[in-house]
Amino acid sequence: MGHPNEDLIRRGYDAFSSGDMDTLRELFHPDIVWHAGGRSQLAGDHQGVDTVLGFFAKTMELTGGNFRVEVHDILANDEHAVGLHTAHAEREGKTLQDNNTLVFHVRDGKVTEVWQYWADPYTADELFA
Amino acid sequence: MEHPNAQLMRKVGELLNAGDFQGFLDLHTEDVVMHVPGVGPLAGDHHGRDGVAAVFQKEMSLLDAPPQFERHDDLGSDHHAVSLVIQKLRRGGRTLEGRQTVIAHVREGKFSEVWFQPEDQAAFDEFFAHSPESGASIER
Repeated sequence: MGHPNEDLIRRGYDAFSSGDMDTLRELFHPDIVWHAGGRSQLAGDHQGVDTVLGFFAKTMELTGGNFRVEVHDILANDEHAVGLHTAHAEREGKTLQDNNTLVFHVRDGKVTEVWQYWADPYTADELFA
Repeated sequence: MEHPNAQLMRKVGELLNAGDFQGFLDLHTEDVVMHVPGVGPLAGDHHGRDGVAAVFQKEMSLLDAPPQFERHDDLGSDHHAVSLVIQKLRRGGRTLEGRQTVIAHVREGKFSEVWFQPEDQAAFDEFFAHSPESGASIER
């Protein structure tokens, strides 16, 4: 069995992949801040659980639902968890496959802050321009 | 208990910060590949310990002082190590400070592949594209 924060993040990935926003709402702190890297319309600091879920919805809307993540590994300790995943996206005939890193700050069993890193942010910026 | 690969990552970082470059290289496999993202002069896939040494030497030649890495946390799993750092660079009198993740694939207690991911890639590339000489002339 992994670290409790590894299990937390794995539940989060599963919930995202199955579109289970209720579980994500349970795992995220109400005041969560999600820092999305890059310069596209999705980039920036998304504050509050409703805004973060809206950011997920916007990602799905822009890709017509063609956005999915494939978990590669999850690392965790008492304060942080790191998710290594491959993001697959399609938009207007363009496709993206990127090795994404998510750094989660976890407090009292809830995700309070997330930093999202793209391996190739320029390609992501172009796709989500 | 801390994962051994988190301890390995911390040791690698400490050797680099202490200037023990040979000790740092020794914790990479001979066939290591280091991926530096972006479009700047350091970007690309650098192969082998010689390739890693060359890209660090090139970075040093472009900077006013050795890069500083403020270590925030190190994590490990059975196959990977990740470091969360604040990177501080100084070049031509300009300073760049930003979050960066360092991701390493670990094989038999050594880094066999390394990826850097700065939080703001565009700022990183712009920093290295900027000509120190032109910056100095503006200040005069």
